[in-house]
Amino acid sequence: MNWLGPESPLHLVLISLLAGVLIFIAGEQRQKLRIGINLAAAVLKLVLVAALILAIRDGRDFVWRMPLLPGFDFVLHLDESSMLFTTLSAFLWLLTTVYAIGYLERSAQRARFFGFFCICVASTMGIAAAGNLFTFFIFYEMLTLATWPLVVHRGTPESLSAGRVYLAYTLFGSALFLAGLVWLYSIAGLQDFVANGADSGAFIERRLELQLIVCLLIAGLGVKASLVPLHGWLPRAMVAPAPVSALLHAVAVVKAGAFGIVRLVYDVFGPERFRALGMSDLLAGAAALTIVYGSVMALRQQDLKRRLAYSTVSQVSYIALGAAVAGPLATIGGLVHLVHQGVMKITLFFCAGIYAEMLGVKKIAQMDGAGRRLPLTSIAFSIGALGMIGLPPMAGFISKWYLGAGAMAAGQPWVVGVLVASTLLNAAYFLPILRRLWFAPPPEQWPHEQVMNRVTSVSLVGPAVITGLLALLAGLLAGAELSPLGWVETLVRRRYE
Amino acid sequence: MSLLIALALLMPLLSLGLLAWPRAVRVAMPLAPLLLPVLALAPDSTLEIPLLLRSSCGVDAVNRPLLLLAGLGWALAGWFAASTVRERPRQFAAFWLLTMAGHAAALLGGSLSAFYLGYVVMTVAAYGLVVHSRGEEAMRAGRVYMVLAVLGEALVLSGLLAIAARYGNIAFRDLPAVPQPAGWLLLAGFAVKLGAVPLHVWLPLAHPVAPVPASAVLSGLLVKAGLLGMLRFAPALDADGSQFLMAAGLLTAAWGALVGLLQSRLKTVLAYSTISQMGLALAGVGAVLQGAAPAALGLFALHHGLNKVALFLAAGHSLRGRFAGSLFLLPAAALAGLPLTSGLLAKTALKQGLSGPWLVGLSLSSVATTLLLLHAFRLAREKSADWERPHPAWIAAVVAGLFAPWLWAWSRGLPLGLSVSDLLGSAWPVLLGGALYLGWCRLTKEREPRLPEGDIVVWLERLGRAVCGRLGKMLDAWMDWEPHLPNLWPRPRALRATEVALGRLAVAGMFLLLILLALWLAAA
Repeated sequence: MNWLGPESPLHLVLISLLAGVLIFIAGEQRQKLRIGINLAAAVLKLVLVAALILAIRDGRDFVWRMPLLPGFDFVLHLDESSMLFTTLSAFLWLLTTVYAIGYLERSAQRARFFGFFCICVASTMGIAAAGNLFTFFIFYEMLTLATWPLVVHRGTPESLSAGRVYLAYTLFGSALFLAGLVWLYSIAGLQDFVANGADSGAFIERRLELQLIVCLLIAGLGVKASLVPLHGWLPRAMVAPAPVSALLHAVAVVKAGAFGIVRLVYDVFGPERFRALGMSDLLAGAAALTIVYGSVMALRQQDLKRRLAYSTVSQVSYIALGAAVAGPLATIGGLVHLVHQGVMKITLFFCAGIYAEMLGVKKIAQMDGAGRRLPLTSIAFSIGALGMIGLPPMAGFISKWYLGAGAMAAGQPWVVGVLVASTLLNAAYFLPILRRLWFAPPPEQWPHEQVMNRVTSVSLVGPAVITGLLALLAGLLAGAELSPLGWVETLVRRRYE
Repeated sequence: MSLLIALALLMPLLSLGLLAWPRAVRVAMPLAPLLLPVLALAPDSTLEIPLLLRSSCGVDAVNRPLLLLAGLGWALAGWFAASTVRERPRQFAAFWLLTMAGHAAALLGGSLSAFYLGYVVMTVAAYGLVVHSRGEEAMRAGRVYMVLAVLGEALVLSGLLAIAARYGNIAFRDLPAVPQPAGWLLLAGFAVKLGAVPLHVWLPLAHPVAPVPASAVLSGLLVKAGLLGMLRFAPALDADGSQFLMAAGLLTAAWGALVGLLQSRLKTVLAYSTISQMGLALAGVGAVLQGAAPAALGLFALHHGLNKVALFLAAGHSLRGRFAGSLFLLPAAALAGLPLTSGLLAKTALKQGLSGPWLVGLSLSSVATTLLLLHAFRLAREKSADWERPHPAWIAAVVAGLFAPWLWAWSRGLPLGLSVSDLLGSAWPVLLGGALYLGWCRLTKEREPRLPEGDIVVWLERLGRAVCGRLGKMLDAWMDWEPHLPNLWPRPRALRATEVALGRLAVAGMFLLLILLALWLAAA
């Protein structure tokens, strides 16, 4: 791995950024070239990520630093937690690209779509690799802006208004985040992310100010992580095309918020100081409220994608909950859910897109008997749904196991109550869908059936099946060293030693 | 040895690969479970599997009789299923094999995660068996089954998490003590599967609608998974709850028998008989908590399982002629505990752990079981069924129920209950039951059920609907606050105005700041 150098983190970001620019230049007409650039960049990045994982496992460290202003360094630093997020995005990006190529085959403005799509992924990479809060903020904003054209891609009044809501919410969050960032800078200067937080004397003295800063930062991140009551944009944004929803819910925006919370707790303040500030209970409370509230709202939805969106609201807060409870076991549970939720949710959204494209099925009530009609898709959907409930051997079970055990070990049994309530609610809104899929008679005629050529249907169903399989294997092979769980366990061991 | 365990776990899964060839699946259904009884006869052994959270599987004293039961039961019912299920046979076979795979994993699982994996797979896949016939009745039964199963699952999981927090994914044999209230959560969760009153309501709904072989395995084998779960954790539980379990068990035994008498469908009556018998098992668990040997319960499970499979297979036949009649009466007599049957054997073993008033309860339950099974016999004689000639699997199940428990008790050195006092002690409840039944027949001529199937489920459903309706209304009102929803429900104008106001970001932001302030004040 000698070709990996300190600038490798930068390459990680640049690959997708360049791909995006090239796609804009290539224009709308050159479809083959565009597909080529897309896939080449995705594969190239996956190779780079794989090499980086092996190198980091062997203990290498990648830091790239560039002073922008005196005291403001632009830092990219790859550590174990960033690799967790990069691997997830790199891998799911490749699959989503394949899916999107099939999905948007007949729609207009594909160059615009894929260009912003690439920039969106580049910002996600930047968020993962950011080495301090300032760098994090740059990419965080880039993501906000790059996602907007994707949300409004269809250009209908409904999607334009959803885009407006999206921008209003996220920019509001960014303002809060920026305020918190500046305030923190005025107290402690700009600190790099370090395991268990930077050691600054200022952190001890000015308790009240720090508490307010944490509130501001969490509120800023909470908009993207869709913490109640800041989640309003997410269910609306599901008017976007299915690949965008998939990426939005599994990798990009929502996860960026959750990842930011993880960074904030573990690498800016450190879990102990965070608890000493009295903020853990606040975050845990907000996460618990979001988990239950999101599930209850999901139960009330009649539209498949909308139900999935509320389910995301609920599930992503598992990550924040893990960070709030802290302690080794709950940390494992929270971090591993970052990956598990992504894989499971992207499967569900892929499948929802397939039902909508191939059969015209968008409402849950229309899904009767679809299992017979699209067996592979429906099997993938079932795996994702059962995983969301948290049943073994799916990936969701592993997250829940560690979160629950970690909460008990940390002396917070009420968290288990929240998890169990969430399990019951998840079962209540996913199992009826599965019953319709597999046990209800199919209708005489599907709402809007489309005949697809083989390549298109493979490019749609293929990614769904692969991620479905991954959601199963991530649970079944959790004991392996390079499984998400194995990686997170190594990470946490290094942190807590 | 470990190869054998791995193969036993894999056989049902491998058979799933044969689904494309209907004829091969039909052969595989009775053959897939046949390694389980082989394991039952093998010495203790464990196998570490690097799957899930590094699971361990193995054979030990607790699961040995249940392995024997599972192997025989699945094979015989599978044989019957392969030649009788004509409707959607592929789908049936898929759920059948998946349930079997889960059951095998739950039986062999020696650590928390392996056991729970099997338990969940079995529970979820069995839904496909319950609703196989579709139709409104089957779907309702499936719904009740699933609601209770998920509830039980959640209870078990919270218990497991409390254990895992302290000991990690521990093997059962290393488990020192279960902290409270985890013990109660586990017991309650397993009681759902076992069918303890008032968690029994899924049984009488699920059994009559499922295909005959599916009811046979549900009643004969799968409810025993609840018993297995309790026995797994029993050594690590304290004895506080034992009196409660005995009382709950005998209440279940009495309830099942009495409500069963008021039913008019054969399979429902048999389901209530299972509830009643599992009540005895629950009382037995209470005895185990006080220190009695679990071997007696294993024997009881083996005896009840095999005979119940035989009875359910009988429910698929019409009982014309003396031969067919005796094929019903033999397992029925065993369940009633007639002298020289396996029932007496099992009850003698069970008695050792009980004392005083509980023993009287046990004898009374024999009276009730006799009454119930005579009632079942009358119903069985009256009904017509799809199968005229006795299927060889049925005959084999009757034979297995007659002899396997004896052989097992003899080979394990359990008391055989052949002394004169045992024989006399066991004869009077059956005679009394018979006499009562004659009187009962005089008194009642009508055939209509006098209690709905699933007894209290009707009230529970009504209650659930009322609560859900009320909750739904509250949520609807709440949804008016929820900013961006289509107008799914009509709502008053004032609320709509509030909604629009709250939908604006600034208001949501103010709201957030207020919440943060409140939380922060509370935290500080």
